[in-house]
Amino acid sequence: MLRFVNVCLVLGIVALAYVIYQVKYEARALDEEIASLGKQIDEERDALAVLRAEWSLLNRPERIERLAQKYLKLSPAQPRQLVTVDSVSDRDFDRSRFEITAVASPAMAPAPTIKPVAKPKAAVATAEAEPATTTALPWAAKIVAPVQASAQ
Amino acid sequence: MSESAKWNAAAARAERAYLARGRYRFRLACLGFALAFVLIGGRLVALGFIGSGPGGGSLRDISTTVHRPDIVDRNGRLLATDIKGATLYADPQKVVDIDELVEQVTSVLPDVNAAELREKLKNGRRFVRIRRELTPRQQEEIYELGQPGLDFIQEYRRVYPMGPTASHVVGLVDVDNRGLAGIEKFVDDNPQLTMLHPDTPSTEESVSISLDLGVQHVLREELGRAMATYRAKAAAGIVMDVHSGEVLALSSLPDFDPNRREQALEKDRLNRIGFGVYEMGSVFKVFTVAGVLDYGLASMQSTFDATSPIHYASFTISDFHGQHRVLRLPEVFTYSSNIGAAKMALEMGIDRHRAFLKKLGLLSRTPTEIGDTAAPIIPAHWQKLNTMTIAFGHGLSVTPLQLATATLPLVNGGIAVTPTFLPRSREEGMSMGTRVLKRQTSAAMLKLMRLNVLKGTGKRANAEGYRVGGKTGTAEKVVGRHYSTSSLLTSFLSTFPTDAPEYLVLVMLDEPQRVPESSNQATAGTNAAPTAGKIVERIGPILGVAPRLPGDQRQFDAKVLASY
Repeated sequence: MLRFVNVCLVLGIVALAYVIYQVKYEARALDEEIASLGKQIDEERDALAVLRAEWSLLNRPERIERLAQKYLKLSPAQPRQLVTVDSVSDRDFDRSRFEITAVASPAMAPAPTIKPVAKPKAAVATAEAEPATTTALPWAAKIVAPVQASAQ
Repeated sequence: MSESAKWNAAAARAERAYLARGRYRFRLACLGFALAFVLIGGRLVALGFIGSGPGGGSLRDISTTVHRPDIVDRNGRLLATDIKGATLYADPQKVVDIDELVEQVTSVLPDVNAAELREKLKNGRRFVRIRRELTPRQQEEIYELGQPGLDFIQEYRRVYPMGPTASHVVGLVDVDNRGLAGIEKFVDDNPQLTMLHPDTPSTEESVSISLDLGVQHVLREELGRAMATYRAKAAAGIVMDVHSGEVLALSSLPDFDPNRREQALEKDRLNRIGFGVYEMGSVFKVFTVAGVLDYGLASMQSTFDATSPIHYASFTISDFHGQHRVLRLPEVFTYSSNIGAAKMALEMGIDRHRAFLKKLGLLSRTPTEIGDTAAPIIPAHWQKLNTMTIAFGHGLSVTPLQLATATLPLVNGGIAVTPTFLPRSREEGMSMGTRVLKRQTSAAMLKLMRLNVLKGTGKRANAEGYRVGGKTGTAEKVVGRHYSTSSLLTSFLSTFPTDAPEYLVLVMLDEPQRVPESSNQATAGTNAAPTAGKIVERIGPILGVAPRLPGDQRQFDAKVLASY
């Protein structure tokens, strides 16, 4: 009886020792992984800091301004170009749609492939009146849409 | 037999006692072993808990410089950050051949002084720093030399991606990454700052300041243009929120690039707004007029006789835009009459005049986050003549920052707020401030300033739609011992929109010349005023001030829309 218990205990100890070694090695591997991940995080953070510095270097207002002058046909908004939504009526909007298409179509003639993007419901209704001239700038519709929507 | 039986009994007793003792010892030994095992086991468990933490051992890197928080503007745009850079050092004990090493190092880094390095290596102990802030490419090349005596340490290095744009506010650090000036120094003195702003876009800790990078850029660019156009020696400007006291932009040209810290030492590049004192000239009349109105000594209908110059002692006070007649109070302001201002100040009297300026904070240093302003230069004996000249801005030198701060109560309804470079809400600014002026005085000053831009000396500052109000100031600089009529300091103190003031803009030009662009004049109305106008025109949309045009010009214009 006692011998049986002893044998069991010895076997148990061997098994436990094996498990403990296993766990110990796993833990050590995990520790190393933590350390290397920690280092990697540090490196990534440093790289991020460099990228963030570079990003803001590239976003310097003077640089953006220079690029805008070179590549965009835009100028700073004049006070007369700013209106509040409240001051725009439905009639203004309809008239503006007509004028935009009138102004825009000759300018856009060389690029007839541009298709008007999906317009809000109300805009489509007015657009059907002159389907031939709806080579309107896709983004013009985008700009007008919110104004028109809130004017209702 | 009984003898032997006796002996046997004694032997048995002894044996029993012996066995009992043995059992006792056995138990003692068991206990001892158990205790030892418990101790060892406990120690093992303890060791297991402690473990080898991450980053332990050889993976640790040696940084000698401190890591600093990022500095961002009010919209979270990065103004200063840390990146890691390598520092090259040599360990003389490991160096094989000093001459060879020096030759190789100087071939990669030509700006290293060979003789000095050789000397240092011969006498050095274990650490000889050769060069800080290596570029990755230089580091690569040094690696390839394969010299055992050379090694690198990683150090933090401060970079300012915006360059000189906000240098006077942000400040700079020394080679050990310690703050030397500006907000950088303030951050070092107040480490709790980073905890006040935990909600930043990046995971790094950061400090946000009140500057708006967009406004700052416009201010700096327009000042630079004005400096070139009017051929001025220097230009400076500041934009403040009139309710919160926040400084939204501060620029003083010529400025320095904080990435090249040696530039900051040049005397010409100082922050004129906070640390230069000037006799500001006619802009001071706003305080004189506000004073007489606030003390109730005059009203908008009051008249002042400006027919002839004032002669006092050996001095003569006369007008630049002389009208030689009796002027009403608004006219004194719009014609910028020195005679009128002097008479107003005399009506206040020396004591009240001085008390009024003191109340506005013009007679003492103003503390700010980037250091106290320079001390104003106050006359040692404040006499009647001093009061008369200070009324139109001569005889008292203050920093432009103080001038701007003192103007805040004149335009915000009468509340004096302290200037700040850290974000502060308008409600907070107003509740922290103290009332120094009557509400009506402030309203009257706004009316006068607007009138001056519509009809007076500040016409060229009228940015379309933004209802600018302001006062020009042309001060003669003291050259040698006399006021010079050719070296002028012109300034324009303005606020917009005057119907509900939000921002204050102060522009100052040092010695602008008579150029065709300013109609061959050198007065503030022809150079500082248009500069301020251009600034307002550009920062108005950034700051979200709605423009309002006279009449009904603001129609929904389809052609304008199409031009986008």
